[in-house]
Amino acid sequence: MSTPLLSVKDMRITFHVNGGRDQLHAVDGVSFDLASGESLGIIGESGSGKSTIARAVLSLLRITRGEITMEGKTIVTPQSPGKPGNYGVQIIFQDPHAALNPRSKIIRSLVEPLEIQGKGNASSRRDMALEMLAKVGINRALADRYPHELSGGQKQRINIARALLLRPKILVADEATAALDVSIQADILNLYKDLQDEFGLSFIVITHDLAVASYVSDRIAVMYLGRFVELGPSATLATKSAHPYTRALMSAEPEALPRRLQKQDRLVLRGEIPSPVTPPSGCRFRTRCPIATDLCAAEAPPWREMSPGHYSACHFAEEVMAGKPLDGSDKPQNLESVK
Amino acid sequence: MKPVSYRDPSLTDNAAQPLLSVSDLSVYFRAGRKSSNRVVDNVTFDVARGETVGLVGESGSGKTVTGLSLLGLLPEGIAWTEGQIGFDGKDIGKMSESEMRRLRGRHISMIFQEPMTALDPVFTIGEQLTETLRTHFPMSKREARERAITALEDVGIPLPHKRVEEYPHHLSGGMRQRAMIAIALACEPDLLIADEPTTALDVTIQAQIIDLIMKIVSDRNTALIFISHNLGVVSQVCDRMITMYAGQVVEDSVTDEVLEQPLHPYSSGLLASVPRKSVSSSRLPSIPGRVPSPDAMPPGCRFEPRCTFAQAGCEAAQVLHRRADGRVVRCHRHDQLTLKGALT
Repeated sequence: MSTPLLSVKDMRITFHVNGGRDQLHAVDGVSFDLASGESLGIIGESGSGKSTIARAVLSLLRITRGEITMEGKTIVTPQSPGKPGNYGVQIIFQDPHAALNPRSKIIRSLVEPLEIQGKGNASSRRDMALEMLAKVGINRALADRYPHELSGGQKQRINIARALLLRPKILVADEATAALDVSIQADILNLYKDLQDEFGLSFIVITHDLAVASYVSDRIAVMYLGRFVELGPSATLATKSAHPYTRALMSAEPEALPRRLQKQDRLVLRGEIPSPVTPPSGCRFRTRCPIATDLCAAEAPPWREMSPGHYSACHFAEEVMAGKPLDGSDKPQNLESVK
Repeated sequence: MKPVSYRDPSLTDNAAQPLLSVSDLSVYFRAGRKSSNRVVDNVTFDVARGETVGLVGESGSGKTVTGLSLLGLLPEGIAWTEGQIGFDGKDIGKMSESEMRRLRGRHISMIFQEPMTALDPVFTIGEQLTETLRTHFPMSKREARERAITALEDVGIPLPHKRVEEYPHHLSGGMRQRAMIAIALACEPDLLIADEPTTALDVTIQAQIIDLIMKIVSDRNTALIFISHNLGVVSQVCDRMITMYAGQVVEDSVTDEVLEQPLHPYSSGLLASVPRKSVSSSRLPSIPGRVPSPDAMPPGCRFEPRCTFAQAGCEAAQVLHRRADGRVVRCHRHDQLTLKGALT
């Protein structure tokens, strides 16, 4: 097997909270690889740690354990944090307006990263910027406008252009379409695909929207309380998920369908994501899991490969994959003891 | 504890008459010293008792402004309305501020997208609930407090007797949204306006809140206007769906009918641009261009510059067609076009 473009190994990121008294592992032992040209979606609820992964991959915060390598070369360890922007990873954020300086013209925002990296001269930088604007579908006449004169969709395209100007190998999109209207979102998602074709770009798409993740990603990782609970090809997760949390997420997302075609057996999870400061023992999802047993409280489920490239961390992964009902109809009687 | 009878004897309860009847509602916002923009243009629709109606459209389509105007909550001096808003036979537009105050929270309530900004951070959840109750009903403080605990229990907040003493920042996002729903529904209003109530929530919490809203409105026969850009949520919650574009109603039909066979190209375009789990790899159809700004509305059909079906006749202003099948659409080509729906 060839060396992956990006490899994250057993990464842990710890924050000190409550005045330094408590440790919060926002990401707790996450590993994944990203191949060149591949698109990986990371989904999960707020507080699951998905944006923390994004920031770590960008070296915007320090990791406390593990390492990140690019093309086999170690670039980030707890002892030597990487230099942001220096190794071919760029990011686009959720709020396209907040990411642009309101007092700078668009062209200024675009050439600044090139200046910092010492690329070309003033006129070649401007040319590069204008060319990139055209590639993301923005009329170059807008280059001399200010951000407030543009729509949200246009601003997000400009953020993408700016990220691409440094010729990254990986673009991280952190909820980059969450603030946009659906038709604008459709444009941006299409643009991702074009850019993937044109630049061979790899994507890490962080989103809470499953449909967005399935649409743009080759593989999807599902996160819960700082850990991956499932990872696999998008199509496999949609049809043969091997984790109850993934099933619940899929089930919770309403699809725009006539009533007669809507799922009748929608699985609504009880409760909310627990505090990451004191995660539940054993399987972290067990407090909300409709099929949890004593085993789930006693032992953390191992990360197992269910089929080639499809991993799950659930003691009952086989049964879930085989379509075990999750409404608790065949729930074992000892559930009370795990709560 | 059993709920007291909240039924207001002054209400007519006339089944034939719609609870809410909005006709030719226009909302103007001042723009500069002498000019104004019409951001909502001749909006007309009825809501029957117990009916659930979705108001959908992109940002800037006028859905939130329409919702706020029903409660007289538009900023005074900056915005004004024309047209009639009939609520239970009375014209809301002609009511004084004190009459409006008796209506708000009692007969019409609203919940918002961001519970943290809608709740007052310096008062406990209990104080905010009892204030609403005691404004509208003669109740002792103790009675109101008990009622508040019941209200929190009704929306599925665990340990309600503890939560009444807590401040909004003590609660999680989902719990805050439940608390806001409890306040809005404390007086059992006849109409609830919900403006993107689940947009800021995670899907799992969204599912809980949707179930809660649906259960409460159906148990109490509350009419619901559900403002959302999320067609998936609307298709679950709403019997009827009104699509707005650039301040106008462009389609008003039974939700399932729009999903199966939309009549307006904009409704169809919105449906097509939603990414679906089941479909991948193909390109997502999007609607070219963007919503026109209120000071530069196209003179004819407002959607014409973005419409793939535009032809001669579309440059004329479009009227609402009331079809024989009961559906309402603002497109003169409605009986010529066969548009793509959610299944095609």
